[in-house]
Amino acid sequence: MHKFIMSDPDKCTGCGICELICSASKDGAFNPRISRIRTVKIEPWVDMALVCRFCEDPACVRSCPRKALRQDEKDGLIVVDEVKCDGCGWCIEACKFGALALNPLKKAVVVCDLCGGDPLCVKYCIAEALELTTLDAISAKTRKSVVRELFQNELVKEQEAKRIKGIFARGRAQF
Amino acid sequence: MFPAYAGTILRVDLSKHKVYKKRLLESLAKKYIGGKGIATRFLYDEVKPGTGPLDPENKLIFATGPATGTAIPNKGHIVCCKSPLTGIYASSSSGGHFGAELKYAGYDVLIIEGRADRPVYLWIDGDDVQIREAKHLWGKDGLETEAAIKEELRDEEVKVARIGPAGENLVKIACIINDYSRVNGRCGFGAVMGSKNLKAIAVRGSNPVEVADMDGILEFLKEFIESVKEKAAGYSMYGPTASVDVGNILGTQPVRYWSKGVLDGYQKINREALYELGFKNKACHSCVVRCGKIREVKEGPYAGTVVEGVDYETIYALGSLCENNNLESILRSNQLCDILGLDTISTGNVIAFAMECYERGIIDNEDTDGIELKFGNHKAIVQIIEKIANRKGLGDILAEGVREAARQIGKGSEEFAVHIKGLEPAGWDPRGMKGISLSFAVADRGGCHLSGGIYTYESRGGLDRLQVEGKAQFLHELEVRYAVTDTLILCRFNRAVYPWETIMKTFPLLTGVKMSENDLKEVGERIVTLARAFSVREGISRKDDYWPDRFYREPIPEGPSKGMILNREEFDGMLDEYYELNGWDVNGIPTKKTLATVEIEKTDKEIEPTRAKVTA
Repeated sequence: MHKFIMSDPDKCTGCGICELICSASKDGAFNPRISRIRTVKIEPWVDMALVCRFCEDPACVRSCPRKALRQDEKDGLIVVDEVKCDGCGWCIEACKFGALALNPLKKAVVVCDLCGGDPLCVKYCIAEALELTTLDAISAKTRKSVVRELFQNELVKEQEAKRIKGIFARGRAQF
Repeated sequence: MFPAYAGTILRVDLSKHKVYKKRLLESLAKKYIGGKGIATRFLYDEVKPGTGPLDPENKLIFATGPATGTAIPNKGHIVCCKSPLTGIYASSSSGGHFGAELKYAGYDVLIIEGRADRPVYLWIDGDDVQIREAKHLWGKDGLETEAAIKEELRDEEVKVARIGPAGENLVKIACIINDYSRVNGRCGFGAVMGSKNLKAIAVRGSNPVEVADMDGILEFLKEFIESVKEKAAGYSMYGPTASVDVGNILGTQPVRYWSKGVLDGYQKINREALYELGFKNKACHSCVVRCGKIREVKEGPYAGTVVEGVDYETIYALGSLCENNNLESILRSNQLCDILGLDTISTGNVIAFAMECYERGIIDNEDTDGIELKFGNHKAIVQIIEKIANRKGLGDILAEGVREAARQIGKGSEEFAVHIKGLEPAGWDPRGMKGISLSFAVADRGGCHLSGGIYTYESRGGLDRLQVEGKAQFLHELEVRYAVTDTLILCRFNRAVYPWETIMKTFPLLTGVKMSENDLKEVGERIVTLARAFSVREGISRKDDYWPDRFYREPIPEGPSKGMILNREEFDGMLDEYYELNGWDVNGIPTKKTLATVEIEKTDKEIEPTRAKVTA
């Protein structure tokens, strides 16, 4: 299952640090407009970051007339051949998430590469709105939380039992 | 030009409908760095003494700093002009995303001069700068304006700074707002923009901001984030609201138009009460503190109100000062101020002043069009705000600010009107805090808490609030440091994270220029004196550096600060010491020697008349 960066709109503050860090590390200067991750603000209170989700059947790859884009089989990354890419931008049009951008310096399309597996934007997000995860992990988390909700009362009982057990254990250790 | 600067000054002459671009000189950047420093220098050089604040000759000078647009957490932009409210020097910084975008568009400084012959807005699309028709925007509130411009320009990511109806109506306490609710609030900048027939400035840019040491900045940021987690946790959690509890526990929160120090039921408007209404955090560009809190009122007469805030000063002005502990009404009032384009501190002050007049029978229902302007009547507060913004009825008088309103209303109201140099003070009672009494009195733009924010240290930072000795020295050092942070432009809410060492560290990282602590202090001192010199040219001297008489006459009547009062002799002592530390004479006018350090010998001629007048 491909890893990608998920953004939590409840936590995102729209500060744009992710964009700044991304452009700084990839292009050596601060420039949100060529960042591979982009924040979206819908005033007054909706903020969210969007970045490539490495789709299973990526429209960007299919749409490229010069075959400049391909998807890596192992980690699902979208790999751009900067020599072949002429910046026509069909992939940008095809992407449903606005996750690709034209880099005017490279005259080619750029897209998130997960910084080799340890994305800097996630590290610098103080609001902890970004998370490197997989769809599997997300659904597993959802499943767990829904079951936890279902068995709320039992879980409380179990915890209480654990706590009492712990007290006994400590008591025994004292004697 | 050094790294971290865009390198260009953009000048827009609205009278001639012309746009000029000029290089920003390295020598200027070295002496004044950016932000407040550079903007103040331009203001001093270009706005001549005696200029009418609402005349075309007044200028709006926007400046970014070297940190703007980078990942070093900063506030974005600052703006300077001659204030229509006070008639003297004015500067105001704002967060949001506007400043960064201006930098990305390629400009360090934006100077707006002249007056358009019809409503216009400015569209800065990188190199392409247009003055566009704004007839269809005139009369629209802030939110509508922003939405309409984005639609017209077909770009949702354009950043817009705009005025509301208050600015159009030349309300002297009107503000400029960007990014929905980030404000250049104090001193009436909105009225100056309105007087130029300029409804909004829209900006978009795609230039990179390069820095001297990128790896160093990324490393610095890691430490900075850790330090924010530790030292600014309160701001991150609650926003800037802790002072409600602090002020009431100390008994120094101005209540019932500066007559009491504790608000009954202040717990209803403190940070815990506010926290209950919050549902989302917001941050300005590059900020890791994220003090912006979106709050929602779900029930009652103000249900449906959604607003970013409210911060302590707003809670004080629209709350305690009007003896109002209805939190929902404070949120609603703040929202109205944002939409209509009013400064909340001044708005709360003029309303509380009008309430005092009403309670004393100086004005009655006929003057207020039937609004019962009694203390604590929150409905009246909400009603009168719209009247102020639209200059309707009594609102037309209140729109002039407290000083002028008192002059027009008369009947002894000038006796209890509270302002310093025409600016309504922020929410700290000077009688219970000696450093604050000096700080507000000498602040460059009038009764302001930010230029020397000593309140942090006196209210919770370990300084004895009643001690007089050493306060002038402490304030002087703080003013110099804050002047430097305003050049970069760093946010006050990061102050705990930005001691001198940290400020010093950021400089070479950004610009490649090494500055010693001494170099930086010189820059700060230069700015403090230059701002003062601007006001001195307009006639300001020692006589203006006092609180209204009532603070030296009436002690705080009750609460933990009961009996505390300002002592004129003690205050004079602090003033003397403060002037000396700044290199100003006993009348508060920079000496010739000090003027030489800020290189204004040439314009010295303009300062001499004031000196001659006060020494005569």
